[in-house]
Amino acid sequence: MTKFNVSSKMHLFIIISSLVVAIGLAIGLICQFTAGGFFNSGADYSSYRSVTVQYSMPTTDDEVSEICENAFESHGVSYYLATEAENAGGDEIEYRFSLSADESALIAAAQEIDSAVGIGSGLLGSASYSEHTAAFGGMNDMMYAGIALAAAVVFQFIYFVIRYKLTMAAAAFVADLHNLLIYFALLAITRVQVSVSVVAISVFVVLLTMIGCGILFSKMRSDFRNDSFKAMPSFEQVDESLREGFKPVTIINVVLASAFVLLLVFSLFAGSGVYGLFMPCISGILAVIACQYGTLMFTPSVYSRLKQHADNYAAKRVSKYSGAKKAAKSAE
Amino acid sequence: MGKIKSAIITVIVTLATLVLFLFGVVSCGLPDGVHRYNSILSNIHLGSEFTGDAYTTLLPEGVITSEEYNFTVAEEGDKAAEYEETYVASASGAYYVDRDVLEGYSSDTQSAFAALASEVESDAAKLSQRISARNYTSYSVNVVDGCAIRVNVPTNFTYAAYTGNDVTSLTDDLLYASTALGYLTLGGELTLRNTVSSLGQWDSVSSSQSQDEHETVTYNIISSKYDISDIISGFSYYAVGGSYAVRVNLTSLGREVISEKTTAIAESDDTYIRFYVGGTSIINLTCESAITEGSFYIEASDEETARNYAALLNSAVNGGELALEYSYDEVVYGTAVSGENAAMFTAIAALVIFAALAVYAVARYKKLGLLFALMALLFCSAMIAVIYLVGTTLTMAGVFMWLLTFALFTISNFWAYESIRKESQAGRTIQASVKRGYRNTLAGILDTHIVIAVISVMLALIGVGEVAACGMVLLIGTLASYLLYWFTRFMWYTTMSPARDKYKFCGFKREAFEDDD
Repeated sequence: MTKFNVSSKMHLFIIISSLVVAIGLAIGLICQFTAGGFFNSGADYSSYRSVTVQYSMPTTDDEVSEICENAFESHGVSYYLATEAENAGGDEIEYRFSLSADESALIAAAQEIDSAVGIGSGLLGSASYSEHTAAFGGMNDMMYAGIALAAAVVFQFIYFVIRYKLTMAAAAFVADLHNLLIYFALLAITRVQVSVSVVAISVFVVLLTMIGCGILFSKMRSDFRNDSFKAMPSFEQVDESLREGFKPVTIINVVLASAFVLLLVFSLFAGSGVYGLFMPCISGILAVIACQYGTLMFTPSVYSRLKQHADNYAAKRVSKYSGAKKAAKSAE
Repeated sequence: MGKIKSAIITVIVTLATLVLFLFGVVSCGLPDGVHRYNSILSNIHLGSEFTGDAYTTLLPEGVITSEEYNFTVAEEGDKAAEYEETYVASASGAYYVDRDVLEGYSSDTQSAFAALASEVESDAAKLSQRISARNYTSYSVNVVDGCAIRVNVPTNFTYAAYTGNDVTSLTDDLLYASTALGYLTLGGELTLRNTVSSLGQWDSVSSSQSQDEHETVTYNIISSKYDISDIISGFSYYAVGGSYAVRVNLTSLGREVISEKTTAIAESDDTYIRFYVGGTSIINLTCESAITEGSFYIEASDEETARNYAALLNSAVNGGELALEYSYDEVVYGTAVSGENAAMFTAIAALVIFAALAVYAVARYKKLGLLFALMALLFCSAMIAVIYLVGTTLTMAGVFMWLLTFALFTISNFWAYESIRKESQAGRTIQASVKRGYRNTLAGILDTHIVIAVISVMLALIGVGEVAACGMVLLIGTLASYLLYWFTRFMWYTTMSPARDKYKFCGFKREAFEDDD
């Protein structure tokens, strides 16, 4: 990082970000028409196929599981989630398959399981195949979450205007939007499942961006007061401050990413396979990646331009004055 | 501060923190071998990722499951023949539909199934909206084979209930989930009813079974020339000071009509207005005098009930009336979709994160790092206690917010420590460095906390469901972080007082001091 000059690379970062967003948009649109959604819907919104096995006679779950596993294996289908449930009539296992799973194979597997656990067997159970189509009526949830998120971004902008400068606030605002866009693009590209928790992780992105920008801009503000900095051009000032601010922001992001990785590793042991905790953790890691890139690469490069314009504007204003007034304006 | 005073405070705080942490996270059997202590953490209500969903499958009238069909047919009695004659299997064979019901749609079986599926899908979308208004942290509504609707809501079990260690809580949570599903899946239109015949008019729901199991003949008090949405604009959940209610908002026409009707009802033998959805009495309003305001409140027994009533009634008045009548056998609760032991593994992961941070802090700041680790332990214990007391549901996203606030607490302290290290490197004494270091970082830390607190309040107030729950966790964490930031400074002052080499205590180097020598 010590040799890397971020400020002069704004165009490069714009190209990289645009590429990521464009790829995300393209994959999302392709999937919208071919795979049933711009994003990969998570448990809250997803449609799926299932084989449900019910049994009432005393037996071990392992016995039923073995029958089902064998049936699925013989018909060449594999499930992504199995949940067990208890009810008054006995036990129930639901195996969930993606919509791309072969329907006829699933029906055949369900029939095979039914003959093994059904009324003809000692288990007095049943097995059936069904297709579940998600009905999404949660637009209100999304709308309110969107409003809350927008309010948070606007409030953060106001805070940066008051606490720092308008140029820094504008850069922080751009950082929020950029990081959210990159995050959503990464979700579309990686096809990580989008569930309600993604809305909360979007808030996480905004807060992490704010913390990162806060650290950087605090550093810049104190550095810019030094005489050694005043002599430097805008780009160099920003780069110099960024070199010092890079480490703490990266440490925060690395620590958070490590925490997500740790949760992810543990989630594998929790028996969730690629479902459940795994997807939110991946989603969290993507959020941290978006913040690391956006806050430390894209934002300073944008801010350096804004600062350059602001400095030029201030210099022009100073040039209008002469004598003591000029000295006073320069000092400002 | 004197050595003895310092030692006493340090011991008290350390013991209190450890005891709070132990009570917070460790569950164990009691010595009597019968009873059990469930930790505060295991008594926090968890989202469906950790403790699973309660679900039920709603069957429209005339639809039965393949299980029922197969069992009946296997018995080979008269009923078996009747079933074989009456029912037609759905495409996958999971459900059977009455021929009469299908003929009601079309004589062509395939078209009839498609029409049934279309109605069921429309109802599923309405149910999804209704449940969305119930403010659950997660839920799902699925159309099954175009013949049935499966509704999942979180059980919100505590970990103790989920693992079977708290049967009372398990029963309560299941009852809440079952009751909610019972109300939220009710079909039929909303009517306002009274038992005095002169006040209302006879309609198709003239005789209804009320909640107290007594059959009550009721009359619709709203004239048939009005639609209910002309009278009532909506219902919402309302809570203040531990009381819960359903707020009823009237239209301007509704205000006139209700004023006129309540004047008459207040003087009649039956002073109740009964709010019915279909044939089921939902909630009663006692009218002791005329209601002339644009809105009024009906008290509910608890939060869950008020939320159920508000979501159902609001849906019923705003076009969410279900086209078909549904029934269900039972409410089933399953294991967590994230994995049966997801909650336990998440807790272990959190402990590992904490341990790693503590090791780093001790390695970098020596005894000060140890003090930080103790304060971080206090932070976690305080979070557990407050989340439990507030009653917020902890979801996976909530855990992420917790993680973020823990990071905030860590960043705040480490930022101050680094600032103090810099000051001490400039040749100042530790006491002077601490003062200057905290002063330098005060503004940044204070306003970061204020901004995050304001954002969390926005999320909690504007957001619904999981977002609101996240906002609450974020708010609790931010407040805890700021309070404990100052408590950490106090404890630093207290524990460092007796130390001879204060630089060594903090893991700082005395560069400037040595230069002076």
